[in-house]
Amino acid sequence: MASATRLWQRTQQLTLSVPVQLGLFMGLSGLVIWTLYFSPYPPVHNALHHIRHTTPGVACH
Amino acid sequence: MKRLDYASLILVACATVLLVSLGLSSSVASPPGLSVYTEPPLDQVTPFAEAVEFEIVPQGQDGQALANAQVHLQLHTPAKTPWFSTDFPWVEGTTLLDLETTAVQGKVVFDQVMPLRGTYQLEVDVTPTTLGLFEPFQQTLPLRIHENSIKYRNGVVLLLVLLGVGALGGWVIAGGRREVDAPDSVRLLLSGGCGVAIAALLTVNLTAENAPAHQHDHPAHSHVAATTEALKGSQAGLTLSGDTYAFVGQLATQTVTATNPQTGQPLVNAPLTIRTVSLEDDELIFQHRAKTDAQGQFTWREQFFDATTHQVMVEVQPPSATMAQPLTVSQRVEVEGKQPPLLVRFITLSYMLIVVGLGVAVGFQTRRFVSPDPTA
Repeated sequence: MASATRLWQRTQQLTLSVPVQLGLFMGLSGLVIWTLYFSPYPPVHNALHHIRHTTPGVACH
Repeated sequence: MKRLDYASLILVACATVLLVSLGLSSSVASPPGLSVYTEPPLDQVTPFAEAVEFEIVPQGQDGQALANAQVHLQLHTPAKTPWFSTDFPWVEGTTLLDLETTAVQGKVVFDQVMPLRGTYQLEVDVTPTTLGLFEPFQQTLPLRIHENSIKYRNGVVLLLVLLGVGALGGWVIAGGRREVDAPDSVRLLLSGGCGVAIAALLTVNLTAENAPAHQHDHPAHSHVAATTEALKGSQAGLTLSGDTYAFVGQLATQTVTATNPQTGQPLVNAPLTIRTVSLEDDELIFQHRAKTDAQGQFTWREQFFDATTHQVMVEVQPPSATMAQPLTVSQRVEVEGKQPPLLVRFITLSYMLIVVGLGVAVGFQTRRFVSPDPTA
């Protein structure tokens, strides 16, 4: 029981540490940007087709 | 002394003859070449917009347009730019158009949508239709298309948004574990939510990445030819044959044949109007007025760069003046697209993430400077 509590506390500390928080933030940012601008997922591609063609550096086809 | 005088005189005479001949040679007309006109002017053309009308005039040594000129032209797209990609990376460094046609009234006219920014190369070979009329010549002309200015505006907006998002994230993270901002339980919940969102987006994107671009029955990397015929009375027969399945980045061949259906003889020098239209948005992609050759045929190769279905239409005016309506034949061309190269997409993504990272750094440092974490 005590070891479970210690494990949970260490997990909390690790999760709330600055490097992990930064990693989560950058990872989520990267995936959101990928989904919006680079993903071939048809609903997103079709909805943002014009934006992709008018954003520099974004390859569409 | 007399010998020296004679020698000097001969030298002066030779020098005079040389100077006179040089003066005469400077008045020789310049070698034959090409004049290329576009409508609109190239500096007003934006990529992937309206078709540009090209007028190519082969000129002789006297600067006059050459009659009876056979022109073979190839339009090559700009070189690859992986570090700052265009909309169509598979089209970079390929050939957009390959056309051999006769200059009508001394000029070759065609319309073509230019898909990319950058410097195209227009390679033109000019030969006489009758041997000996003039010396064949070849010229390659650079055609520069500037990027759409809207992209630069959107790029600045995107940069500001990414910086702002990054700064906000850095500000929040730099706040540390202050109870006044949010309790640990809320932070843990949000962190867990981030993890779930990351997993979900990864799944969606990996699935979409591995899905086939198109569902077709045709085998990959093969060209399927088809023939479409149109007949009108006894005046003319028109056949359009060529690739009905094309690939982005590769040329597709089309051939039109005009014959007299009664005699089976080819219609020579029959005036044709060729049009290629994108069916997705009903936009003209390519247009050219040509004439059939001695076999009653005209062949051209064009690239369907935007991975949408196209309609190729050819119209011929039958020889008899009593025919009110021209004869038209058309066929659809399905185009297989490909996802842009992963490397190119990752390069641009990394640029965007660098900007987000800069925003994070700014937000982080600003928060720490403004209100240092007392619990740190």
